[in-house]
Amino acid sequence: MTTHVQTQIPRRDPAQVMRLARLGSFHQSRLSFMRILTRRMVQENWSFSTPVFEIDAQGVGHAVLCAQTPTRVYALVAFAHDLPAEKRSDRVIADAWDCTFTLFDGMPSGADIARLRQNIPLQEAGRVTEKELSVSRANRSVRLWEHVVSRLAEGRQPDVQEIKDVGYLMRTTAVYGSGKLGAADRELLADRPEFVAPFQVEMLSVYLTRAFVRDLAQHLANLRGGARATCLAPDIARLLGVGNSTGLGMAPFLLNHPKLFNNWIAAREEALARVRSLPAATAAEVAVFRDVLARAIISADCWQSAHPIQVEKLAVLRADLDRLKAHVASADLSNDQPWQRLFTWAEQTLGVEAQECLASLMFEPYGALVDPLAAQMSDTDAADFYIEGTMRLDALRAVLDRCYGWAMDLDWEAAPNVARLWYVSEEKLEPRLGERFAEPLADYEQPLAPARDAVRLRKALDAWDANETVAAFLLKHPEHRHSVRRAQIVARAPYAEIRDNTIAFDLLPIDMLRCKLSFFGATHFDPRSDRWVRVCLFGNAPYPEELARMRADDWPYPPANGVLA
Amino acid sequence: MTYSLNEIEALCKRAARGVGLSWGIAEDAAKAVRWLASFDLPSVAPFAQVLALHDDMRDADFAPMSLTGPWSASAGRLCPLLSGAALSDCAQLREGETALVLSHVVYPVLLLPFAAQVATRLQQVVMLSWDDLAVMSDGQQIWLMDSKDQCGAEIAETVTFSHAERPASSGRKPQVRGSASAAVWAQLNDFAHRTYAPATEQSRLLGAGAGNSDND
Repeated sequence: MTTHVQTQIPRRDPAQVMRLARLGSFHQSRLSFMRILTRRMVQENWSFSTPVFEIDAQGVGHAVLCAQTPTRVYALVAFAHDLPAEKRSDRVIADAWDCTFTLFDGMPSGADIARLRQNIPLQEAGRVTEKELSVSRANRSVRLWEHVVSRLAEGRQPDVQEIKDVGYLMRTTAVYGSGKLGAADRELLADRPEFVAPFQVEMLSVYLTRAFVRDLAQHLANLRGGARATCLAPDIARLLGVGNSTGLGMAPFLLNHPKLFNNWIAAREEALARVRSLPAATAAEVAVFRDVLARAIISADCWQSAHPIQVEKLAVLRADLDRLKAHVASADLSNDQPWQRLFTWAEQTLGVEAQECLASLMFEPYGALVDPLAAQMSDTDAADFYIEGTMRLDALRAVLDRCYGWAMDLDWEAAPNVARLWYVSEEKLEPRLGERFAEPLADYEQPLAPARDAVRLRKALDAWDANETVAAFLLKHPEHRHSVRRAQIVARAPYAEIRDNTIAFDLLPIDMLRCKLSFFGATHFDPRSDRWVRVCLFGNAPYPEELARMRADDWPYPPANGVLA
Repeated sequence: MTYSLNEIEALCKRAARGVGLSWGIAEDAAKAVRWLASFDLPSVAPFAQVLALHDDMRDADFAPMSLTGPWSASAGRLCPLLSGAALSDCAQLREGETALVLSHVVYPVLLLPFAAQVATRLQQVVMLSWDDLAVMSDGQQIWLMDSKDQCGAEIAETVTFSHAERPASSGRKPQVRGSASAAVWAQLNDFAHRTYAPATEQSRLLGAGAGNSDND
């Protein structure tokens, strides 16, 4: 059911929102996929158990962690390995990992475990079935793993500063779902309420992985320390998320799923419009906002990166959040469209990064307004794929001029504007970014330059009568079929297309990665180059056994009086 | 061996591109094979055969010359993928007409997903017939009026597309997996492989942007 909410303030213009610099400054929010999952777990009172944990002192063995929903069981099957240090790599070209995982649909039998043991440790080289929902792997943090295990074995807690510096005991390097390697197709699961929102399978897999990793470290510390070993303090354990290294493999996703991407952005923009349109705010709502702002400042303070771009963005963000805090201390947030006034002030005063952070913070007091929008974030309309062949060419021209007008004046012959190209490497079948004029890659170019291709289409239409149909045009010009499909999607879905040049010499793929990861709910983005980024998933989240007691949905913001404050 | 439907679609799209079809046609063709495979009809194998034909021909010679009158190709044989995409595009144009005739269609079973797409959009049962066979679909299920063998015919002299009454019986429903022989899968992988750029040490380092250590 869709609730109609009156909004006086319109959604922001796609021309403003869909720029890479802004998309690359997004923050997690109530609409992040991790929070959608943990809210459901709490609301439905999921229960969790670990029926199998058979791992030896060398860290080799397997475990099964179960999540029980009101109607189903999902089991994370984890295989732990003894990985020689020289084999530990996060690159997709690695072929061995510290731990490998699959999320199993139901409770696996002994035969299932035996089958999975033959396949899951191999990752891409193995095969799974429709009983498996995801396949993933993780590597230990060399810095933190030994520190935590040895401290616990000695009967001491790990150093909080060390934990702050790294943020995770293990990092996943790929989480495959949606039919990859033979796993269940997303369509197979789409009618299960717990998987309606995007990436819920992957988020559940990572959530259970985080609990397993903590338990594994504790288990090995206990075996090593014997009676001397101590338990990891819950407040310190909660600081630990799951690290994630994300490279170019993820970047084209936003381009390859225009309608889905639109639905994510549209939900967020609708949430922002709803909050900005509120005529007044109660004292309790303002108190929630002030609380999460203070905690966002703590989070920004312990967000670390050595990458020059992020270092600069962080410096501006921290300064801007301080200005925001000072402004909020004296501003009247109770009447006269307080959020609209605050957001307008921010747009005139703060940088893009802080504006987007503020947007997320403004959602926090308004779960009832914002959270139902999560139901609109999937792409369930298969009909969007099919081309409307009866559309007249003058209508198609109008769409192109409206949605790609910004690209029409760009010089698409100039080398800097077409300096890059996207291709798939033979070695690992992963998307990569090449230099068009330095490498012989043009024959392998992927259709990931929608603006350039829309301009080409627009030019080709000049030779055609306005009354002709798209069907007649495409019969003679199949090379434009991809762009026509996109244009028709964008005509209906205004936030479907990034309004920047995705093959420019100065493209920063990390902007695309961060945008997607922010919707996952990741925090502390740490670019390691212009094309891969480290993040932390589920940092500060309650563990399975804590969910029912802690309930609060605002876990991405560290507690104001916690160990990080 | 069985595959997830997403695997089938992903490989078919790359394979179609590998033989030189446009990205847009490759997308429609892959979606079509996925749909057909879910009904356990000849799908991946005839698709590989059609791609092999494309390898030796210009696409324009294999496509309908015009959207009016009976559809035929300049080279004599019609590609079911190029014809199917055009059929899908014309969904609304066909409204009110009684039938469309296509001449000398290679592997006509591959037209079925596109016809089914028209059925979905028009909310109207459609029928494809060739030789002694008729197959109907409303987009969600199919009714096959002959054996599976005939359905995989290599070429049909005449294929007729028309509207039809909904059969009284319930039709065949889609499954969650598709199957393909190892040989056909390998052939599609060979076609798909042509879209992958050979790796060089330069691309290994620059393309994925590693360079600095990821092990810390």
